Amino acid sequence: MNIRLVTSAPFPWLNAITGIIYGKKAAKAGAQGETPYDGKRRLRLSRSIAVTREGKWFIGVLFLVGVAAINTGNNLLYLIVAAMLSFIIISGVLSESAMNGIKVQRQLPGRIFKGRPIRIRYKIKNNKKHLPSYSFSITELPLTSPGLKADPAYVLKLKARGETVKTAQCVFERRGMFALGGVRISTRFPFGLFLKGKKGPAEAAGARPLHGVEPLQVVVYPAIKPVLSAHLKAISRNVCSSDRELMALAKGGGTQLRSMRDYVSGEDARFIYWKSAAKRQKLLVKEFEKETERKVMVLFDNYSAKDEDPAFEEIVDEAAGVINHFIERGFSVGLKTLTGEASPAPGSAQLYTLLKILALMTPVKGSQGARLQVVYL
Amino acid sequence: MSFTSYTLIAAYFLSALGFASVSLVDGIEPWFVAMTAFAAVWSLYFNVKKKTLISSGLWNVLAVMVFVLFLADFLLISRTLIVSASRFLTVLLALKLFDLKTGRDHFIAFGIVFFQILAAAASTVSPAFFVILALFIAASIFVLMIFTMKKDWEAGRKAGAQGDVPRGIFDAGFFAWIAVVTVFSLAGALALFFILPRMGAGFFERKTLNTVKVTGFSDRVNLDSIGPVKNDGTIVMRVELPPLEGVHPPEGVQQKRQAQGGFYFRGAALDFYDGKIWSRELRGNRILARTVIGPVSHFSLEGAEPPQGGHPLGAATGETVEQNILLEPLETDILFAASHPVEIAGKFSYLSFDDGRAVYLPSTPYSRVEYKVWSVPGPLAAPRPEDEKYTDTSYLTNEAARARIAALTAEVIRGQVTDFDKAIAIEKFLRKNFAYTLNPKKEAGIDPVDAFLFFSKEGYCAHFASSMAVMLRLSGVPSRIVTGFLQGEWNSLGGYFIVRQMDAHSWVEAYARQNGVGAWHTFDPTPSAGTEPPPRPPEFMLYLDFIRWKWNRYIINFTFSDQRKLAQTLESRTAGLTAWLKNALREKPKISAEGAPLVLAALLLAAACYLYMKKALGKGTLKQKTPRFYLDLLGILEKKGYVKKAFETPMEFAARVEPFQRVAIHRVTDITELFQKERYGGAAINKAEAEKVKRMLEGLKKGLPPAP
Repeated sequence: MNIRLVTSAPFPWLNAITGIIYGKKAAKAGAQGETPYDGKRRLRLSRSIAVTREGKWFIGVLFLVGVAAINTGNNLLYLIVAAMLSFIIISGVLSESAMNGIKVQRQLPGRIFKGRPIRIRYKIKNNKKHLPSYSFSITELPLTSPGLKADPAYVLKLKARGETVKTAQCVFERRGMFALGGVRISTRFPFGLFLKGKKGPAEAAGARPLHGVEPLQVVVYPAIKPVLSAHLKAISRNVCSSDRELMALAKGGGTQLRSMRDYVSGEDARFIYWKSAAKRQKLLVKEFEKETERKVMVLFDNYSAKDEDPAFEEIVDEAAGVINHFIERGFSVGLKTLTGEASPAPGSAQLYTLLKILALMTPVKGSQGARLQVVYL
Repeated sequence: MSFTSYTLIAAYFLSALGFASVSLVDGIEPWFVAMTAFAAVWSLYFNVKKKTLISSGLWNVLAVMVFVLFLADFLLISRTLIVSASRFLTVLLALKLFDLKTGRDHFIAFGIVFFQILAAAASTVSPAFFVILALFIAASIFVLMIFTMKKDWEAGRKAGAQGDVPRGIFDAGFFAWIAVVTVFSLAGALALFFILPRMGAGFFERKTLNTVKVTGFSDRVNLDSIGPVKNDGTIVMRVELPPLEGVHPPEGVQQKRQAQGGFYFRGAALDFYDGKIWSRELRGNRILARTVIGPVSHFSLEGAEPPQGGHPLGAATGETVEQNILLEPLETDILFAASHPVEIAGKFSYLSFDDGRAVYLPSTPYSRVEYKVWSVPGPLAAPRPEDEKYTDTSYLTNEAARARIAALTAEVIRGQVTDFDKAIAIEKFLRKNFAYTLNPKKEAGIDPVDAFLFFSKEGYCAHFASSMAVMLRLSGVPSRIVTGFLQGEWNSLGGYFIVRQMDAHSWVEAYARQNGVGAWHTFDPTPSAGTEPPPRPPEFMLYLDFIRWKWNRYIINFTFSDQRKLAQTLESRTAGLTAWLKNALREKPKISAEGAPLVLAALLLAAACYLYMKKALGKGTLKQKTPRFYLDLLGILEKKGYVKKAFETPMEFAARVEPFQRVAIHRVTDITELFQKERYGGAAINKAEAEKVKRMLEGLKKGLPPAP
């Protein structure tokens, strides 16, 4: 039986105080080399409790009435003190009941970009046979490193054995891999005196799913920064310095129309432009651009003097914007960084491959600074 | 019904409780409560019509003004903090009801009501307080819940969150649930009330202010003014008689006492009569000796030496009667007890007594007094008083009256030899020839005893007792008047007497020798019409009084010593249970035919508890949720040397084992797939699949070679 759970329901304060005292002791013992991890883990609280503003007032008044009862010896004041204490106990039991038996299924959008708000979809089920759950919120568990800003999804009432779907807005403030541990159910129900929640970052890392939500790893792509052609010119290198010039390069078997010319006997009839034949009384054939020649390589010297460098992140976003720019225009795009390389390829699959590389890319220590270049191949 | 309607109903319900609680405060006039309550009802019109009479700014100004009035009231008029504060809060609440717009306004009203209840707690001792508190708890649970939900709902909706909570949230189930929560909350409050340690070491420790001032009793008897008291039903005290051994049901106690002549709860003995008023001649009171010292001290009257100049108190012999008395705060410091008290126990710093055997408190009590008395109802053996005050008839200055009374007395006691017989004769004469009335005819300018005996021939207890005492004194028998109460009404629910103001009585104690022993004997010359209880309040009042009695006993007067007793009882019961269990384990159990069903029921209960606990605690464990057949598969494979590693998924494990099967039947994979279907898919395998699994397990047992 989970003793912490049992004590936390009727005596949240007792649990909180013992947790704080013994948690510190255990931490001290850990520092001295005695069971460094297990002690803390054993005494960690399964619930987090915070006193609300109303709760502080309530406790203050309870304290004053308690003092008055002791001073006067008036049993009716003792009765009021007992009723107020009973309120705290009932509050603990009811908040526990509101959170128990709640199972949550979480659904995130397939692709997540840094700084772009998304909506997380929660399918919430109350597995209790008879008791409804009132007024609780579901939030993403706080991560070990910051970068996730998630609003809570609020449920006013969920009937016994009932099910509902709620969405909550969420913003990932940095790119990279995020390990979402689970969700945290919190409630101020029933009296608004305490904000009680199931804790916390520890469970997020654990293998045991919390409230039925499995830990999830998501890749957050960098933000796609719009590309200005002037800037693109500045970072481009090779014979051509613009898209237009590049398009004048060569004809080939690509898909983009390049030009039209007179039909030469023996040529493939599939390329004849029949509409002009009727208009101009002669046959014209369509010429296409040479696909293989629409190839760029994005070179990213991912140097940075600092681990957390906003300027570096700016360039990562810029790189994502450049890659997107060329992929949208049918280019085969490759990416070369100091830590890895991806060969040029066209299409959206390539876009997300390259964005994932950028998402997971870590800076290489160096004072040169990050640099972005586009090389037309 | 919308959320706003619920909050409005709750606000007015709470306000009604606030007004009711203030009405319990001693010193708050009913007209004040009625007036403010009327204002509250008036405000309902504005709230229903959503009109504003008092703006928030104006309310703040008015609140300041009311506070100034409160200070003036406290400093100049009432001079009692509780009363002034109650008035202040009530006016503030009435004003707030005109300004109920936001959630904050509702919270302020809620807070004011809470403080009104606090004020009532500090002032009242009425059981009605508990009813108010219980309703307040129920209403608070509802109010706090809906406010919390509303606030969270608004926070959850973020932008533009002024909308109402959706309908259908507060259905019948919700209210039933609140009722259950209220019951649990009350039960919890009561449990905590009894557990919370009573320290009682405060600087301002003082019992609740008295709310009942009983004026009927006094240590003087005025023959012209006692009459109205007999119509007053105010309760003076409650006297609980612990059940007598061998007397069942408890009503038998009262019947037995009745057969013995009923109780006379003795107050003071009066020895001096001036012709109109009986009083006690002043003598220096003496402190009673303490026999047990502690929070509850014991004081003994046995062997107590009389005050300076007084005669010996006398000794009571016979069967002792124990009484638990709860005395209302009277305007006297006399402690009442059934004739004749021999020992008193209570939380008194000291007690004193006089030579009339009256016991006195240190001062007039502010609150109810609870104490225990042991009395001996028989005569009070003592040497004959040498003091002439008990035979003094000097007040009879009118020679004609003296002669008339003396002649009558001589006539009545003619032929009686002993003082005891003389007293009996006078008692009988008065009982037989005189009528009981609360409104006797008054003869101006005539001595009341003379008027009673020769003119009106009717009167109440004081007339009868005075006449008998005077006649006894004229015949040379020492006598005195005793004031106190008759036993009153028996409440069979609680096993106690309810003694009311109307039970006030006076009777006579005469010194006489009987069977060779000189003693003070009790005589009551008032005819039975006087001693018979006058019309009583209705029957259901007994139930109400029983509740009041228990309320006073277990709530108002609950003390640290009660907690100690409670703890001791618990300890002894637990110790008894432990000892019983030890004995039961040590000795061979012998179950009788009567005990067998009990034991069977206990075993069944234990089994049910075990199964329930197992089910409750086993939830979520792997073993509980993993199908049996997969555990069997793991067992078979383990025996063959194929052990599933912690990092392997079931399918990975199956894939590892599969190549070792001699024949190309994917038994392990198939069973694992069925396991996954049941464990994670939530679909139990059917009968055919179960048969198949059984066969495959058999096949694995026989056909799978041991791991290399």
